[in-house]
Amino acid sequence: MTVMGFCLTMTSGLDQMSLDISLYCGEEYKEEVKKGSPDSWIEVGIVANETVICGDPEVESGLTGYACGVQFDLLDAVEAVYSDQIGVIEFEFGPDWIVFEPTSEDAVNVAKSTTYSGLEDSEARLAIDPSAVVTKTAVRIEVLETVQLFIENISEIDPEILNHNTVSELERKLKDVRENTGE
Amino acid sequence: MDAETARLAADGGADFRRGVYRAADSEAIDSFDQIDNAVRKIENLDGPANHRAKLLVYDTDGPGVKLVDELDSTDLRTLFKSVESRDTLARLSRQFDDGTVESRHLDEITDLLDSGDMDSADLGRFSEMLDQRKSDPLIDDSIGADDLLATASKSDLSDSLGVIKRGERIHTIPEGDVEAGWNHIKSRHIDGDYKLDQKDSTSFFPAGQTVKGKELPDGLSERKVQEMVADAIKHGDETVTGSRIEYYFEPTDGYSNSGVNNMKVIVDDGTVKTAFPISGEKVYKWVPDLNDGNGVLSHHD
Repeated sequence: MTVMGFCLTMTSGLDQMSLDISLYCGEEYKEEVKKGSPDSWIEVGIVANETVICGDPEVESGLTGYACGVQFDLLDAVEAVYSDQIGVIEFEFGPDWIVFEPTSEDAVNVAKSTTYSGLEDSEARLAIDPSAVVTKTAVRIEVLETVQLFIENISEIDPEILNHNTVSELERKLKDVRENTGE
Repeated sequence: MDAETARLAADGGADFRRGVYRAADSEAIDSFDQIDNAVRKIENLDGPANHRAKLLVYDTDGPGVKLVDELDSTDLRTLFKSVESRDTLARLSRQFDDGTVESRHLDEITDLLDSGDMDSADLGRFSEMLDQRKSDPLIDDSIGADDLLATASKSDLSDSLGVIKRGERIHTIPEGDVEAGWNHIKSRHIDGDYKLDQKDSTSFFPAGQTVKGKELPDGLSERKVQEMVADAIKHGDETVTGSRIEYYFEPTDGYSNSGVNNMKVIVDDGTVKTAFPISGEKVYKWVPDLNDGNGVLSHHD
Protein backbone atom coordinates (compact mmCIF):
# COMPACT_ATOMS: atom_id res chain seq x y z
CA MET A 1 0.00 0.00 0.00
CA THR A 2 1.28 3.45 -0.81
CA VAL A 3 1.69 5.36 2.39
CA MET A 4 -0.11 8.54 1.57
CA GLY A 5 -3.51 9.78 2.60
CA PHE A 6 -2.92 9.91 6.31
CA CYS A 7 -0.75 8.14 8.81
CA LEU A 8 -1.63 8.16 12.49
CA THR A 9 1.07 7.38 15.00
CA MET A 10 0.24 7.83 18.66
CA THR A 11 2.42 7.15 21.65
CA SER A 12 0.98 6.64 25.09
CA GLY A 13 2.25 5.32 28.35
CA LEU A 14 4.78 5.78 31.05
CA ASP A 15 8.50 5.55 30.41
CA GLN A 16 9.35 2.10 29.07
CA MET A 17 5.77 0.88 29.26
CA SER A 18 4.55 2.83 26.24
CA LEU A 19 2.40 1.66 23.35
CA ASP A 20 2.41 3.05 19.81
CA ILE A 21 -0.31 2.25 17.29
CA SER A 22 0.19 3.48 13.73
CA LEU A 23 -2.56 3.40 11.11
CA TYR A 24 -1.25 3.55 7.55
CA CYS A 25 -4.14 4.65 5.40
CA GLY A 26 -3.08 4.93 1.76
CA GLU A 27 -4.48 6.85 -1.18
CA GLU A 28 -6.69 3.90 -2.13
CA TYR A 29 -8.27 3.97 1.29
CA LYS A 30 -8.79 7.72 1.05
CA GLU A 31 -10.57 7.23 -2.28
CA GLU A 32 -12.85 4.61 -0.72
CA VAL A 33 -13.78 7.05 2.07
CA LYS A 34 -14.62 9.67 -0.56
CA LYS A 35 -16.95 7.07 -2.13
CA GLY A 36 -18.64 6.59 1.22
CA SER A 37 -16.92 3.35 2.28
CA PRO A 38 -14.93 3.78 5.52
CA ASP A 39 -14.18 0.08 6.09
CA SER A 40 -11.68 -0.94 3.42
CA TRP A 41 -8.10 -2.22 3.89
CA ILE A 42 -5.50 -0.30 5.88
CA GLU A 43 -2.22 -1.36 7.47
CA VAL A 44 -1.51 -1.21 11.19
CA GLY A 45 1.82 -1.16 13.00
CA ILE A 46 2.14 -1.68 16.75
CA VAL A 47 5.20 -1.03 18.94
CA ALA A 48 4.97 -2.01 22.61
CA ASN A 49 7.64 -1.01 25.09
CA GLU A 50 10.05 -0.37 22.18
CA THR A 51 9.43 -3.87 20.76
CA VAL A 52 7.97 -3.99 17.28
CA ILE A 53 4.94 -6.28 17.64
CA CYS A 54 3.82 -5.93 14.03
CA GLY A 55 4.73 -3.85 11.01
CA ASP A 56 7.81 -1.85 10.20
CA PRO A 57 7.85 1.77 11.42
CA GLU A 58 10.77 2.66 9.14
CA VAL A 59 8.90 1.87 5.95
CA GLU A 60 5.48 2.61 7.46
CA SER A 61 3.93 -0.79 6.81
CA GLY A 62 1.96 -3.16 8.99
CA LEU A 63 -0.56 -5.94 9.16
CA THR A 64 -3.59 -5.50 6.92
CA GLY A 65 -7.11 -5.30 8.25
CA TYR A 66 -10.39 -3.54 7.65
CA ALA A 67 -10.13 0.04 8.94
CA CYS A 68 -13.30 0.09 11.05
CA GLY A 69 -12.99 -3.56 12.03
CA VAL A 70 -9.59 -2.86 13.58
CA GLN A 71 -10.96 0.15 15.52
CA PHE A 72 -13.82 -1.93 16.95
CA ASP A 73 -11.39 -4.71 17.90
CA LEU A 74 -9.09 -2.18 19.61
CA LEU A 75 -11.98 -0.77 21.65
CA ASP A 76 -13.16 -4.30 22.51
CA ALA A 77 -9.61 -5.08 23.64
CA VAL A 78 -9.60 -2.13 26.07
CA GLU A 79 -12.91 -3.31 27.53
CA ALA A 80 -11.51 -6.84 27.77
CA VAL A 81 -8.29 -5.96 29.59
CA TYR A 82 -10.22 -3.74 32.01
CA SER A 83 -12.30 -6.83 32.80
CA ASP A 84 -9.16 -8.97 33.15
CA GLN A 85 -10.00 -10.76 29.91
CA ILE A 86 -7.95 -11.33 26.76
CA GLY A 87 -8.55 -8.87 23.91
CA VAL A 88 -7.82 -9.81 20.28
CA ILE A 89 -7.32 -7.73 17.14
CA GLU A 90 -8.04 -9.84 14.07
CA PHE A 91 -6.33 -8.81 10.82
CA GLU A 92 -8.59 -10.24 8.16
CA PHE A 93 -6.20 -10.12 5.22
CA GLY A 94 -4.37 -13.09 6.78
CA PRO A 95 -5.57 -13.81 9.36
CA ASP A 96 -3.01 -12.66 11.90
CA TRP A 97 -3.80 -11.64 15.43
CA ILE A 98 -2.57 -9.25 18.11
CA VAL A 99 -3.40 -10.38 21.63
CA PHE A 100 -3.75 -8.12 24.67
CA GLU A 101 -3.54 -10.30 27.78
CA PRO A 102 -3.54 -8.88 31.33
CA THR A 103 -0.64 -10.23 33.37
CA SER A 104 -1.22 -8.29 36.59
CA GLU A 105 -3.45 -5.55 37.90
CA ASP A 106 -1.87 -2.85 35.72
CA ALA A 107 0.21 -4.80 33.19
CA VAL A 108 -0.81 -6.12 29.79
CA ASN A 109 1.24 -8.40 27.55
CA VAL A 110 0.88 -7.36 23.91
CA ALA A 111 1.75 -10.23 21.57
CA LYS A 112 1.47 -11.15 17.93
CA SER A 113 -0.02 -14.58 17.30
CA THR A 114 0.39 -16.24 13.93
CA THR A 115 -1.50 -19.29 15.18
CA TYR A 116 -5.16 -19.51 16.17
CA SER A 117 -4.40 -21.66 19.20
CA GLY A 118 -1.96 -18.96 20.32
CA LEU A 119 -4.86 -16.61 21.06
CA GLU A 120 -5.45 -18.34 24.37
CA ASP A 121 -2.24 -20.30 24.81
CA SER A 122 0.98 -18.31 24.67
CA GLU A 123 2.95 -21.58 24.40
CA ALA A 124 1.25 -22.24 21.06
CA ARG A 125 2.63 -19.08 19.48
CA LEU A 126 5.57 -19.21 17.09
CA ALA A 127 9.10 -18.17 18.03
CA ILE A 128 8.83 -15.31 15.53
CA ASP A 129 5.80 -13.84 17.35
CA PRO A 130 7.08 -10.90 19.41
CA SER A 131 5.57 -9.68 22.66
CA ALA A 132 6.12 -6.98 25.27
CA VAL A 133 4.47 -5.78 28.46
CA VAL A 134 2.88 -2.33 28.74
CA THR A 135 0.64 -0.70 31.31
CA LYS A 136 -3.11 -1.11 31.14
CA THR A 137 -3.39 2.67 31.23
CA ALA A 138 -1.12 2.96 28.19
CA VAL A 139 -3.39 0.60 26.25
CA ARG A 140 -6.47 2.62 27.15
CA ILE A 141 -4.97 6.03 26.36
CA GLU A 142 -3.37 4.87 23.11
CA VAL A 143 -6.46 3.09 21.79
CA LEU A 144 -8.88 5.90 22.65
CA GLU A 145 -6.63 8.51 21.02
CA THR A 146 -6.05 6.34 17.95
CA VAL A 147 -9.76 5.74 17.37
CA GLN A 148 -10.59 9.40 18.04
CA LEU A 149 -7.95 10.55 15.54
CA PHE A 150 -9.09 7.96 13.00
CA ILE A 151 -12.63 9.35 13.09
CA GLU A 152 -11.36 12.93 12.85
CA ASN A 153 -9.14 12.10 9.88
CA ILE A 154 -11.78 10.30 7.84
CA SER A 155 -14.26 13.10 8.57
CA GLU A 156 -11.71 15.57 7.17
CA ILE A 157 -11.60 13.50 3.98
CA ASP A 158 -15.40 13.53 3.77
CA PRO A 159 -17.55 15.09 6.54
CA GLU A 160 -20.53 13.04 5.31
CA ILE A 161 -18.76 9.86 6.43
CA LEU A 162 -19.86 10.66 9.99
CA ASN A 163 -23.40 9.77 8.87
CA HIS A 164 -22.31 6.28 7.79
CA ASN A 165 -23.87 3.85 10.25
CA THR A 166 -20.62 1.99 10.90
CA VAL A 167 -18.85 5.25 11.79
CA SER A 168 -21.80 6.35 13.96
CA GLU A 169 -21.57 3.01 15.74
CA LEU A 170 -17.82 3.49 16.16
CA GLU A 171 -18.32 6.93 17.72
CA ARG A 172 -20.90 5.48 20.10
CA LYS A 173 -18.60 2.61 21.02
CA LEU A 174 -15.68 5.02 21.61
CA LYS A 175 -17.83 7.07 23.98
CA ASP A 176 -18.98 3.95 25.86
CA VAL A 177 -15.47 2.58 26.28
CA ARG A 178 -14.16 5.97 27.39
CA GLU A 179 -16.88 6.16 30.05
CA ASN A 180 -16.82 2.52 31.11
CA THR A 181 -13.06 2.33 31.57
CA GLY A 182 -12.52 5.84 33.00
CA GLU A 183 -9.90 5.88 35.71
CA MET B 1 -59.59 -11.70 -31.54
CA ASP B 2 -60.86 -9.03 -33.89
CA ALA B 3 -60.15 -8.56 -37.61
CA GLU B 4 -57.65 -5.76 -37.03
CA THR B 5 -55.65 -7.99 -34.69
CA ALA B 6 -55.69 -10.77 -37.24
CA ARG B 7 -54.42 -8.35 -39.92
CA LEU B 8 -51.65 -6.97 -37.67
CA ALA B 9 -50.64 -10.47 -36.67
CA ALA B 10 -50.42 -11.50 -40.32
CA ASP B 11 -48.44 -8.34 -41.19
CA GLY B 12 -46.03 -9.08 -38.36
CA GLY B 13 -44.64 -12.14 -40.06
CA ALA B 14 -45.34 -15.87 -39.96
CA ASP B 15 -43.67 -16.50 -36.59
CA PHE B 16 -45.50 -13.64 -34.88
CA ARG B 17 -48.81 -14.75 -36.37
CA ARG B 18 -48.19 -18.30 -35.16
CA GLY B 19 -47.39 -17.01 -31.69
CA VAL B 20 -50.55 -14.90 -31.55
CA TYR B 21 -52.76 -17.77 -32.64
CA ARG B 22 -51.10 -20.13 -30.17
CA ALA B 23 -51.65 -17.53 -27.45
CA ALA B 24 -55.38 -17.70 -28.14
CA ASP B 25 -55.29 -21.32 -26.96
CA SER B 26 -53.00 -20.62 -24.00
CA GLU B 27 -54.18 -20.92 -20.41
CA ALA B 28 -52.27 -17.71 -19.68
CA ILE B 29 -54.84 -15.72 -21.62
CA ASP B 30 -58.27 -15.00 -20.13
CA SER B 31 -59.87 -13.12 -23.03
CA PHE B 32 -59.35 -12.13 -26.65
CA ASP B 33 -59.25 -8.49 -25.49
CA GLN B 34 -55.82 -9.22 -23.97
CA ILE B 35 -54.58 -10.41 -27.35
CA ASP B 36 -56.10 -7.41 -29.18
CA ASN B 37 -54.48 -4.98 -26.72
CA ALA B 38 -51.11 -6.71 -26.83
CA VAL B 39 -50.93 -6.86 -30.62
CA ARG B 40 -51.84 -3.14 -30.94
CA LYS B 41 -49.23 -2.19 -28.34
CA ILE B 42 -46.56 -4.18 -30.15
CA GLU B 43 -47.52 -2.52 -33.42
CA ASN B 44 -46.84 0.86 -31.79
CA LEU B 45 -43.30 -0.09 -30.80
CA ASP B 46 -40.44 0.96 -33.08
CA GLY B 47 -37.43 -0.86 -34.48
CA PRO B 48 -35.66 -3.39 -32.22
CA ALA B 49 -38.29 -3.07 -29.46
CA ASN B 50 -41.00 -4.10 -31.92
CA HIS B 51 -38.90 -7.03 -33.16
CA ARG B 52 -38.09 -8.23 -29.62
CA ALA B 53 -41.74 -8.06 -28.54
CA LYS B 54 -42.79 -10.15 -31.56
CA LEU B 55 -40.08 -12.71 -30.82
CA LEU B 56 -41.32 -12.89 -27.23
CA VAL B 57 -44.84 -13.72 -28.40
CA TYR B 58 -43.41 -16.36 -30.73
CA ASP B 59 -41.16 -17.79 -27.99
CA THR B 60 -43.75 -17.95 -25.22
CA ASP B 61 -47.22 -17.74 -26.76
CA GLY B 62 -49.64 -16.85 -23.95
CA PRO B 63 -47.26 -15.63 -21.21
CA GLY B 64 -45.58 -13.17 -23.61
CA VAL B 65 -48.94 -11.75 -24.68
CA LYS B 66 -50.03 -11.50 -21.05
CA LEU B 67 -46.85 -9.56 -20.15
CA VAL B 68 -47.26 -7.14 -23.05
CA ASP B 69 -50.94 -6.60 -22.19
CA GLU B 70 -50.03 -5.83 -18.57
CA LEU B 71 -47.50 -3.06 -19.24
CA ASP B 72 -48.47 0.46 -20.27
CA SER B 73 -46.91 1.85 -23.45
CA THR B 74 -44.11 3.68 -21.65
CA ASP B 75 -43.06 0.71 -19.53
CA LEU B 76 -43.36 -1.58 -22.53
CA ARG B 77 -41.02 0.64 -24.54
CA THR B 78 -38.54 0.80 -21.63
CA LEU B 79 -38.51 -2.98 -21.23
CA PHE B 80 -38.09 -3.90 -24.88
CA LYS B 81 -35.60 -1.11 -25.60
CA SER B 82 -33.43 -2.08 -22.59
CA VAL B 83 -33.50 -5.86 -22.74
CA GLU B 84 -32.08 -7.69 -25.73
CA SER B 85 -32.03 -11.23 -24.38
CA ARG B 86 -34.84 -13.47 -25.66
CA ASP B 87 -34.19 -15.87 -22.76
CA THR B 88 -34.56 -13.11 -20.17
CA LEU B 89 -37.80 -11.79 -21.65
CA ALA B 90 -39.23 -15.29 -22.01
CA ARG B 91 -38.30 -16.22 -18.42
CA LEU B 92 -39.75 -12.97 -17.09
CA SER B 93 -43.03 -13.47 -18.90
CA ARG B 94 -43.34 -17.05 -17.60
CA GLN B 95 -42.58 -15.84 -14.08
CA PHE B 96 -45.26 -13.16 -14.45
CA ASP B 97 -47.68 -15.81 -15.68
CA ASP B 98 -47.03 -18.14 -12.74
CA GLY B 99 -47.18 -15.29 -10.18
CA THR B 100 -43.50 -15.35 -9.14
CA VAL B 101 -43.30 -11.83 -10.54
CA GLU B 102 -46.29 -9.56 -9.94
CA SER B 103 -47.52 -6.37 -11.61
CA ARG B 104 -45.89 -4.17 -8.96
CA HIS B 105 -42.56 -5.93 -9.61
CA LEU B 106 -42.87 -5.15 -13.33
CA ASP B 107 -43.44 -1.49 -12.44
CA GLU B 108 -40.34 -1.52 -10.25
CA ILE B 109 -38.28 -3.29 -12.90
CA THR B 110 -39.14 -0.73 -15.57
CA ASP B 111 -38.42 2.10 -13.11
CA LEU B 112 -35.00 0.59 -12.33
CA LEU B 113 -34.28 0.06 -16.04
CA ASP B 114 -35.33 3.63 -16.76
CA SER B 115 -33.13 5.09 -14.00
CA GLY B 116 -30.14 2.97 -15.01
CA ASP B 117 -29.97 1.19 -11.63
CA MET B 118 -30.67 -2.05 -13.50
CA ASP B 119 -29.55 -3.12 -16.95
CA SER B 120 -30.32 -6.02 -19.25
CA ALA B 121 -27.70 -8.27 -17.60
CA ASP B 122 -29.08 -7.49 -14.12
CA LEU B 123 -32.60 -8.38 -15.21
CA GLY B 124 -31.26 -11.58 -16.75
CA ARG B 125 -29.63 -12.55 -13.45
CA PHE B 126 -32.80 -11.51 -11.56
CA SER B 127 -34.98 -13.91 -13.53
CA GLU B 128 -32.31 -16.62 -13.54
CA MET B 129 -32.00 -16.45 -9.74
CA LEU B 130 -35.74 -16.74 -9.29
CA ASP B 131 -35.69 -19.88 -11.44
CA GLN B 132 -32.65 -21.39 -9.70
CA ARG B 133 -33.47 -20.65 -6.06
CA LYS B 134 -34.71 -24.18 -5.36
CA SER B 135 -31.71 -25.85 -6.97
CA ASP B 136 -28.70 -23.54 -6.41
CA PRO B 137 -27.32 -23.58 -2.84
CA LEU B 138 -25.89 -20.09 -3.37
CA ILE B 139 -29.37 -18.68 -3.89
CA ASP B 140 -31.48 -18.74 -0.79
CA ASP B 141 -34.73 -20.59 -1.47
CA SER B 142 -36.65 -18.00 0.55
CA ILE B 143 -35.53 -15.19 -1.77
CA GLY B 144 -38.36 -13.51 -3.66
CA ALA B 145 -38.70 -10.87 -6.36
CA ASP B 146 -38.99 -8.13 -3.69
CA ASP B 147 -35.65 -9.16 -2.17
CA LEU B 148 -33.85 -9.25 -5.50
CA LEU B 149 -35.23 -5.88 -6.59
CA ALA B 150 -34.15 -4.34 -3.27
CA THR B 151 -30.68 -5.76 -3.93
CA ALA B 152 -30.66 -4.59 -7.55
CA SER B 153 -31.31 -1.01 -6.47
CA LYS B 154 -28.01 -0.86 -4.55
CA SER B 155 -25.70 -3.44 -6.09
CA ASP B 156 -24.90 -5.17 -9.34
CA LEU B 157 -27.07 -8.30 -9.62
CA SER B 158 -25.29 -9.47 -12.78
CA ASP B 159 -22.05 -9.61 -10.75
CA SER B 160 -23.66 -11.73 -8.01
CA LEU B 161 -22.82 -15.41 -7.65
CA GLY B 162 -25.32 -15.81 -4.87
CA VAL B 163 -27.89 -14.13 -2.69
CA ILE B 164 -28.44 -15.24 0.90
CA LYS B 165 -31.14 -14.10 3.25
CA ARG B 166 -30.75 -14.15 7.01
CA GLY B 167 -33.70 -12.68 8.89
CA GLU B 168 -34.53 -9.50 7.03
CA ARG B 169 -30.97 -9.02 5.80
CA ILE B 170 -30.06 -9.86 2.23
CA HIS B 171 -26.40 -10.53 1.38
CA THR B 172 -24.83 -10.98 -2.03
CA ILE B 173 -21.68 -12.88 -2.91
CA PRO B 174 -20.25 -10.79 -5.77
CA GLU B 175 -17.70 -11.93 -8.33
CA GLY B 176 -15.84 -8.79 -7.19
CA ASP B 177 -12.13 -8.22 -7.74
CA VAL B 178 -8.83 -9.00 -6.00
CA GLU B 179 -9.69 -6.56 -3.20
CA ALA B 180 -13.15 -7.88 -2.30
CA GLY B 181 -15.70 -10.55 -3.11
CA TRP B 182 -15.22 -14.03 -4.57
CA ASN B 183 -12.22 -13.05 -6.68
CA HIS B 184 -10.46 -11.81 -3.53
CA ILE B 185 -11.28 -15.02 -1.64
CA LYS B 186 -10.10 -17.14 -4.57
CA SER B 187 -6.92 -15.22 -5.36
CA ARG B 188 -5.83 -14.83 -1.76
CA HIS B 189 -7.16 -17.89 0.08
CA ILE B 190 -7.23 -20.54 -2.68
CA ASP B 191 -4.83 -19.70 -5.51
CA GLY B 192 -2.39 -17.69 -3.40
CA ASP B 193 -1.53 -15.30 -6.20
CA TYR B 194 -2.40 -11.99 -4.53
CA LYS B 195 0.00 -10.11 -2.25
CA LEU B 196 1.75 -13.08 -0.70
CA ASP B 197 4.88 -10.92 -0.60
CA GLN B 198 3.47 -8.71 2.16
CA LYS B 199 4.02 -8.96 5.94
CA ASP B 200 0.65 -10.66 6.40
CA SER B 201 0.20 -14.40 6.79
CA THR B 202 -2.32 -16.09 4.47
CA SER B 203 -4.54 -19.05 5.31
CA PHE B 204 -5.72 -21.42 2.56
CA PHE B 205 -8.87 -23.39 1.98
CA PRO B 206 -7.81 -26.98 1.24
CA ALA B 207 -8.63 -27.35 -2.45
CA GLY B 208 -5.76 -29.56 -3.61
CA GLN B 209 -4.11 -26.50 -5.11
CA THR B 210 -0.39 -25.85 -5.42
CA VAL B 211 0.91 -22.72 -3.71
CA LYS B 212 4.58 -21.73 -3.50
CA GLY B 213 5.41 -25.10 -5.08
CA LYS B 214 3.63 -27.07 -2.36
CA GLU B 215 0.54 -29.18 -2.99
CA LEU B 216 -2.08 -28.48 -0.34
CA PRO B 217 -4.57 -31.06 1.00
CA ASP B 218 -7.69 -31.78 -0.97
CA GLY B 219 -10.94 -31.22 0.85
CA LEU B 220 -13.05 -28.67 -0.95
CA SER B 221 -13.85 -27.71 -4.51
CA GLU B 222 -14.12 -23.99 -5.27
CA ARG B 223 -17.87 -24.47 -5.53
CA LYS B 224 -17.92 -26.05 -2.07
CA VAL B 225 -16.01 -23.06 -0.67
CA GLN B 226 -18.69 -20.79 -2.12
CA GLU B 227 -21.37 -22.93 -0.50
CA MET B 228 -19.48 -22.76 2.79
CA VAL B 229 -19.49 -18.96 2.58
CA ALA B 230 -23.25 -19.03 1.98
CA ASP B 231 -23.78 -21.42 4.92
CA ALA B 232 -21.59 -19.27 7.17
CA ILE B 233 -23.91 -16.33 6.48
CA LYS B 234 -26.99 -18.46 6.97
CA HIS B 235 -25.93 -20.35 10.11
CA GLY B 236 -22.75 -18.77 11.55
CA ASP B 237 -22.39 -16.73 14.75
CA GLU B 238 -23.24 -13.18 13.76
CA THR B 239 -21.83 -9.88 15.07
CA VAL B 240 -23.31 -6.69 13.63
CA THR B 241 -21.62 -3.28 13.99
CA GLY B 242 -23.22 -0.65 11.78
CA SER B 243 -23.26 -1.97 8.22
CA ARG B 244 -20.40 -4.36 9.00
CA ILE B 245 -21.24 -7.97 9.88
CA GLU B 246 -18.87 -10.74 10.92
CA TYR B 247 -19.82 -14.43 10.72
CA TYR B 248 -17.82 -17.17 12.45
CA PHE B 249 -18.76 -20.62 11.25
CA GLU B 250 -17.76 -24.17 12.16
CA PRO B 251 -18.58 -26.24 9.06
CA THR B 252 -19.89 -29.64 10.07
CA ASP B 253 -23.07 -30.72 8.26
CA GLY B 254 -22.20 -31.38 4.64
CA TYR B 255 -18.50 -30.65 5.13
CA SER B 256 -17.35 -33.76 7.02
CA ASN B 257 -14.07 -34.16 5.11
CA SER B 258 -13.35 -30.50 4.52
CA GLY B 259 -10.56 -30.30 7.10
CA VAL B 260 -11.77 -26.81 8.07
CA ASN B 261 -12.84 -26.41 11.71
CA ASN B 262 -13.50 -22.71 11.79
CA MET B 263 -13.87 -19.92 9.24
CA LYS B 264 -14.91 -16.28 9.04
CA VAL B 265 -16.90 -14.21 6.55
CA ILE B 266 -16.99 -10.40 6.49
CA VAL B 267 -19.97 -8.61 4.96
CA ASP B 268 -20.21 -4.85 4.51
CA ASP B 269 -23.35 -3.11 3.38
CA GLY B 270 -24.89 -6.42 2.28
CA THR B 271 -21.91 -7.54 0.19
CA VAL B 272 -19.41 -10.29 1.02
CA LYS B 273 -15.92 -8.73 1.25
CA THR B 274 -13.78 -11.67 2.30
CA ALA B 275 -13.87 -15.16 3.77
CA PHE B 276 -11.02 -17.24 5.07
CA PRO B 277 -10.34 -20.43 7.00
CA ILE B 278 -9.07 -19.97 10.55
CA SER B 279 -8.20 -23.47 11.73
CA GLY B 280 -8.51 -27.13 10.83
CA GLU B 281 -6.32 -30.14 10.09
CA LYS B 282 -6.18 -29.33 6.37
CA VAL B 283 -5.80 -25.56 6.74
CA TYR B 284 -2.30 -24.45 5.74
CA LYS B 285 -0.87 -21.01 6.21
CA TRP B 286 1.80 -19.02 4.42
CA VAL B 287 3.92 -17.25 7.07
CA PRO B 288 6.33 -14.83 5.40
CA ASP B 289 8.40 -14.13 8.55
CA LEU B 290 9.50 -17.76 8.95
CA ASN B 291 12.68 -19.20 7.40
CA ASP B 292 14.64 -15.96 7.91
CA GLY B 293 12.00 -13.96 6.13
CA ASN B 294 11.76 -16.26 3.10
CA GLY B 295 8.46 -17.69 4.27
CA VAL B 296 7.11 -21.16 4.96
CA LEU B 297 3.82 -22.75 3.95
CA SER B 298 2.78 -25.23 6.60
CA HIS B 299 0.00 -26.37 8.88
CA HIS B 300 -0.56 -24.33 12.06
CA ASP B 301 -3.44 -24.76 14.46
